[in-house]
Amino acid sequence: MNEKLPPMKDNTAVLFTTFVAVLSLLLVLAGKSFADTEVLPPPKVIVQSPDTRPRSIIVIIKDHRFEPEQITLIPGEKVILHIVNKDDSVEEFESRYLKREKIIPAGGVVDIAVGPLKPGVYDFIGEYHADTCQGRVVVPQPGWNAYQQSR
Amino acid sequence: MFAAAIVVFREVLEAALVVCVILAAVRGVTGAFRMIFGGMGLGVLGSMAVALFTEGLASAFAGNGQEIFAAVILFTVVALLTWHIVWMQKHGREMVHDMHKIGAEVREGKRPIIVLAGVVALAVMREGSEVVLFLEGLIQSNHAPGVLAGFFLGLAGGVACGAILYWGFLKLPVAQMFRLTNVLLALIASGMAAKGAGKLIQAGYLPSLLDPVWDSSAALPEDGVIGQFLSALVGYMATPSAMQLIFYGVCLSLISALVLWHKRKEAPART
Repeated sequence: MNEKLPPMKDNTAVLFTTFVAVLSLLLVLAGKSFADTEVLPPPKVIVQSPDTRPRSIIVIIKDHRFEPEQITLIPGEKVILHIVNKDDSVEEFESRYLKREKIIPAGGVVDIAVGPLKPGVYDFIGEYHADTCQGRVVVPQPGWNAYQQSR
Repeated sequence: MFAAAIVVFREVLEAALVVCVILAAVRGVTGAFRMIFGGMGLGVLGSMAVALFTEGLASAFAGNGQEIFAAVILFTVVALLTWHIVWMQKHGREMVHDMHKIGAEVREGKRPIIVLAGVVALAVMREGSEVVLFLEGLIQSNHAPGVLAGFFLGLAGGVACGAILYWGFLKLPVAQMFRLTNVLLALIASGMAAKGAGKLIQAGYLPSLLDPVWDSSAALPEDGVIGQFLSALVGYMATPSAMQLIFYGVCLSLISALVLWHKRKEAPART
């Protein structure tokens, strides 16, 4: 009965075996290369850990005025005011609302940490030129939008 | 002119009030005034030196030099005042009864007047350096003479307030006056401890815990006339943080505890 098997079938079996062998080889190769790519750079920015460093805001004193004069913070946000005195006279950053008081030498730079703050307006002055040297930190209520801010 | 006057007045007032309470506290002691005014002179010189080194101070300790410097001065003053108050508790009675004896003790160097002279020097130095910087700026920027006049008006105003307070103390009977000045010195010390804590919070060395605990700046603003007086004399704060209140409370209870302890220790000996 076995001899009765057509030679065609043998051919098919060889072809089939070859096909399977090649396919599995391809799969192994493909799998290997796939594995390689997985070992390479891990997906980096899927969940970014929050940056806990406070935001740094540059405030320039020039001609006895603050620039910018208004600083807007998110409620609860902590920032560093990086105050640059470009005048040739000493200035004192003072705010009894922010509870900060710091001398900035002529041409000097001083860092002042501010916040976290509740919503509100916190005035600050350059005490030695208080008539012009005025600014404020604004902490808007949540929901306070840009339109209201521009008004 | 008035803007300048107000700036200077504010800076001078606190030191002037502290000096006047101290002058009242040493009233009648031979040679005490000379030492206190000597302390004041040292303080003025010191404030000029501090003003001179502002730049170095500003950049010291990673930019926290000013805060650390102020905190060290404040806590030193707190320690000196505490020492004085406890000493007064031990010797105040004798002082009231026998001024002549006290005078002799000063000459022998037993009395802690030098401690109070140190307090005056430090208080004047701390407040004075800002006045010196302000004056320096005024001279530098060639302001109208009116502004300079304002400077001296503010200076005179601060000193006058201190003088009025001192005059008020003189009206009191001696024993009562010493009791009052001692209580005031304890409150001044506590207020300075709270201010020192505020400096450390500003520099980020201490947490504020809760800020502010209350806000009475609408009813009694800290930079108003009454607020300024209360701030200098009893350490009033319109918007204190929890940490500052803790420092105030701990300082006041510590001084009270020390005074009571000495009173109790003394009581059996007297009966």
